[in-house]
Amino acid sequence: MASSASKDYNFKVVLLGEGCVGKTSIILRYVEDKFNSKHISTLQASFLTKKINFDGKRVQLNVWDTAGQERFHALGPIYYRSSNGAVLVYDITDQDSFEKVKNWVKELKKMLGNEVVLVIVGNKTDLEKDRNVQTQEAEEYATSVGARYFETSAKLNEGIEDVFLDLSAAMINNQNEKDLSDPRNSTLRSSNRLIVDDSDEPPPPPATKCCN
Amino acid sequence: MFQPSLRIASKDLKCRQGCGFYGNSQFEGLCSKCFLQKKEQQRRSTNLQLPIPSVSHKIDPSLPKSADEQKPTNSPSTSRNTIKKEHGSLKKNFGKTMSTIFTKTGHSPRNKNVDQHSTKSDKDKQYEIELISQIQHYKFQGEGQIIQKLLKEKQIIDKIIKDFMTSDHKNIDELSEIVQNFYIKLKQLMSNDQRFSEIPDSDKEDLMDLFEKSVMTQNHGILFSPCEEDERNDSKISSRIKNLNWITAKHLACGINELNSECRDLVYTAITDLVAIDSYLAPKDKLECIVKCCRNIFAVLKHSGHNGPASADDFLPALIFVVLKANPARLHSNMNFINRFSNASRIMSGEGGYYFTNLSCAITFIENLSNESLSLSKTEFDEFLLANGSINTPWETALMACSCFNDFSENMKDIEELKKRTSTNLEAIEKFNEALSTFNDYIDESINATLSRAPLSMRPIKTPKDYKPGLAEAGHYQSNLLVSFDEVQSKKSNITLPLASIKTSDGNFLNITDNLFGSSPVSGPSPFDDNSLNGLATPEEYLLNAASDYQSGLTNINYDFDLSDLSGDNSIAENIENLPDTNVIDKHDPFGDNSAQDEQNGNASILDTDSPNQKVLPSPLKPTIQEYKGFSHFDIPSISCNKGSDFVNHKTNKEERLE
Repeated sequence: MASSASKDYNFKVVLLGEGCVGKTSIILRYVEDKFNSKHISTLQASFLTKKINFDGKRVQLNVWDTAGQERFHALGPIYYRSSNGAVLVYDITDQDSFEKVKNWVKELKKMLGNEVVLVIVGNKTDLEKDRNVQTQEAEEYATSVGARYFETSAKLNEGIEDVFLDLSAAMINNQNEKDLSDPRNSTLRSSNRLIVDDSDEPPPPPATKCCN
Repeated sequence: MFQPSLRIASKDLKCRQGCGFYGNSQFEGLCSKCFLQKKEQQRRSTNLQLPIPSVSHKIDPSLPKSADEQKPTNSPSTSRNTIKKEHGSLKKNFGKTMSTIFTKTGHSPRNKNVDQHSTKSDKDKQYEIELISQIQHYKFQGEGQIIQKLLKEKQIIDKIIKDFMTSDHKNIDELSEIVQNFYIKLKQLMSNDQRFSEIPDSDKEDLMDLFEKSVMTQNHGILFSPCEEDERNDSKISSRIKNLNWITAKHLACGINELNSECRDLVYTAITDLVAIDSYLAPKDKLECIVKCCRNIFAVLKHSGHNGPASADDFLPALIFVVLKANPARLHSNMNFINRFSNASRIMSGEGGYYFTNLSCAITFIENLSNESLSLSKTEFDEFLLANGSINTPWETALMACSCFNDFSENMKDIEELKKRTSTNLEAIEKFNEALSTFNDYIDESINATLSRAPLSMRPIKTPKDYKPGLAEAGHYQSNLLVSFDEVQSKKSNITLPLASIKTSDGNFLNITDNLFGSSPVSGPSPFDDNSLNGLATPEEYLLNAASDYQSGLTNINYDFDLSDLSGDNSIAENIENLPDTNVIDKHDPFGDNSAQDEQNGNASILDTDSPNQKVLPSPLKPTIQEYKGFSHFDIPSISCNKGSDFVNHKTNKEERLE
């Protein structure tokens, strides 16, 4: 939740993608700028935070890795509940992984509507010769669902930074719009519009009902 | 570490009435339902006139009545029946209402409030005091005001919670939202209110945590597991996990190395952490348990030989495995309690939030687990389920097996250790043997070398059988004449003391030869060196050489005059033929060895001063009587005057040889 007053943003970003598409490599490359797993100091690569400065605004990205195996697919909604952004990774040499991305996009749209910023990432451009998913196809799909599209190589450190910078910019925009349209909403939980007096001794609020 | 004893057996957590639901220490070890019944009974016994319940207990429409019948009701059912009967006989009119009360399983906080009214205020105060002391720990400026403000807020939220729980409108999720908004409001107040302006942000977070902890600990009794659904889910997931006890790390493909003892210990630690979740009251502490557990799981994964940091792909299966093995008590109630009443910002973001979400995922996965999720065929899966059902206490069996394996591996470790030690010992022995043999060889070698350098074979030394002093005197005198006339003159006095002088000469000769044996450097080329290195340098031979030199007379090897000088009395060339005896020489050997070092200096001086480059002067060894006496004290009785004659006798031999 971001507090607009201090211009500090705290975003939750989920990392979705089939196993072996390079989710972990991407996030480790971004947070630690390392690819070879031997040199990485952190014990775990499933929950990482990165603080960045974007146009003078302090942004903290909390990146949540998710288990990509097929059998955990159903657990997705628990992961991406109340996330501000989602990075959907597929392997450009693997058509299946791209199809998976399409599934997740559908689910995310269903669960979070348009509030969530979607970024589709085609990873492993260093294996261009084995490419199975054409850039044009992926780009067209991304535009059709209102997502951003990037191609990266975690191995060669290509395009990773751009993914997260663009994502941050979009999430800040999203957040600001939300704050403008309903400033109260930014502080109270969206599911509840309870109005509490700000005086020192608020009357015990009566059992409230949701207005929506 | 593996501490099965620390675990509370699940039967101890169950309701004391034995109804199959989990009990709660705050309900005197009963489940909420039995507790209510007991309270009701007590009240009835004190007040026969049953008060008409002022609160109409609305049955949650989401709870079908049949749910009660589904519940395993063994002993409580009988007690309930008796209550019903009693009650029915008392006031038939209320029969219907009362049965609703008794079959109602949800909490009735109002009744509890009434019952605990006397103690509650004390307890509240206790919590307040605790909170105050915790805040005082930070030593804020103007902490009095802060404490006052927080206590006020606390009373407000307490009242809200209690009012809500006693009202007929009691959907716990609504209360959760109220509390969450209260947290947000309090946070805003902290950031805006000037009383809090001095406090750094991190401490504000701590204050929030303390506040939350205090409120939640105080109200834990009414907020934890507040509806029947939670309890039902607890018991459902518990039995579900029991049934799935046969699942191994392999089934989940979670890459936990079960054979590594360190790894296993960490798994046990993680399990203990997860089980501890039920023993804390505040949601934050419960969350802390989850975080600790998850960190241990990451440690497990690290020890299981993963390349680099573990990703969610590895982590989630491992977490599921740990949950399956831990089977924490009242899992659903705990999760819901955290979810509802912990500060939402913590649940939704941050490390704790991530782990909490993962645990939720794990629970959901377990609940929906099918043969496909374990990549087993349907029949296999069913077989496992059935086979497991036949074991009465699968967890205990598993525990026992675990501990057996633990012991087994420990023993294996010990054996391995012993093996290692034995092998190192064997190696050391071998090395020692080798060293011994090389040392042996070395000794043999050096002995051989020494022997070859200086064979012990002694040449028979001929000593003249008849000693003729007169002749010796004359010989000596003649030879010395060649060197220096003066010297001869001075040495006339020596001649009068033949025995003493002979003895000294003997000693000196021995020493010289000893030095040569020890290959001590002798300045300049000397005949001694050559002779000795030829292996001929027994004292006797040296004497021969020297003597021959002297006999040659005018050669410049005049440093040997001392020899002639000291043994001059005996130097009789005529006695050559009469030297068959070796006895005398043998006796010199041990003596020479011992005294070698001591007399080395003296010898050196002999050689130096007698070197041919120097002036031919009176010998430095020119003996005084005292000195000779000193040497004469050597207790070698067998040194005879023959010695001198030896030397003189051999002179001729040597001379011949050199020529």
